Amino acid sequence: MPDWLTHMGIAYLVIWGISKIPKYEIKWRNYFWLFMIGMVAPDIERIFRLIAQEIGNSFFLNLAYTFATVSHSILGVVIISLFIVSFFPHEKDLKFIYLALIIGGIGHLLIDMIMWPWPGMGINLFYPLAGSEFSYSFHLVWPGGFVPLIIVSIILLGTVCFDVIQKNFTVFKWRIK
Amino acid sequence: MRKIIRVLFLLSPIILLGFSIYEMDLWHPPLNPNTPQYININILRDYPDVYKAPMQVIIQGQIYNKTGDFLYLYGGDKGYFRVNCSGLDIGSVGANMNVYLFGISYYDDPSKEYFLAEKFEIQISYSVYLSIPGAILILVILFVGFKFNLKDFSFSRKQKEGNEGA
Repeated sequence: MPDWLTHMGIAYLVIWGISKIPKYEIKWRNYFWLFMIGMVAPDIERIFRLIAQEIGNSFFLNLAYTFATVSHSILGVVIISLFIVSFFPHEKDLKFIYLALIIGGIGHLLIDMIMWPWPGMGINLFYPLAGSEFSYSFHLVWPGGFVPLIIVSIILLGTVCFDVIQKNFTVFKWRIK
Repeated sequence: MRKIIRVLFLLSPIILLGFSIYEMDLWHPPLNPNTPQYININILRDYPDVYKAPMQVIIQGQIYNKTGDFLYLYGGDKGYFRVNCSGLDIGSVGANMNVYLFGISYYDDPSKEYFLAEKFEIQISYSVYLSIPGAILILVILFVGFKFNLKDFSFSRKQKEGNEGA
């Protein structure tokens, strides 16, 4: 499970890439930050896990872990995205907001699939179909460590340097004079 | 968005919560021998009297050999896995560490409810704590990038962004 920072870093890299292509930038700018929110949404239980961990309550901790198993699935992404959409009732483009959140959520699952074992063999992408036969992972890194964050940070720093040289932070529509 | 639909959407995580509670109660069959198994040390810590047994413990790449009896792993309210393994020194395992078991089990034979662990891998996990700055950033995005309406507890895009992309 990479942390939220890693997921957000990867979301920023995707947004950054899109912002460099004017054709797509105009179309998708409205959904940049929603995509980023979608990218961390499956980890929404982290806050409760942290509290449960601090107070030492094993029931809530166990619940947080099983919730993570359920939320890290296509079903979980679809439902959590619905939940988030409910906080944007006045927007007219709800379908696109929902789509941005779902794309972000699926991106989250793909990133989590680089890790193993989580739990067991990988992610139960098609939950309620669960178990080792339905767990998917690329088996690349151990979860919980700094490796993904360090790699993402280095690339992210590269994009910042690029923007400084170009004097144009396209993601934020900010030009340095 | 109609109010009733909004309420339904707001309540939708209950479905996930229901699945989560069901998963907690589920009695899993003996662990798959072909995969390392994941256990959170905080759950193990509720039963400190059972952490004795001969086994190999790897903490951040260093290998330790310990001796003792059985390790019982919590498997929901319907029982425990009895793990005949090379012991785990609970003192060397701190909070925030994840324990992974490698070994042999009888996955295809549900009558055997035990797992022979040959190796434990303990990894320190920082991901939960690293999520705190991430959560702060998400709040910044929500409250800076969007307009918050306290009246109906909703967010909307700020005027200057417009909806031309829809």
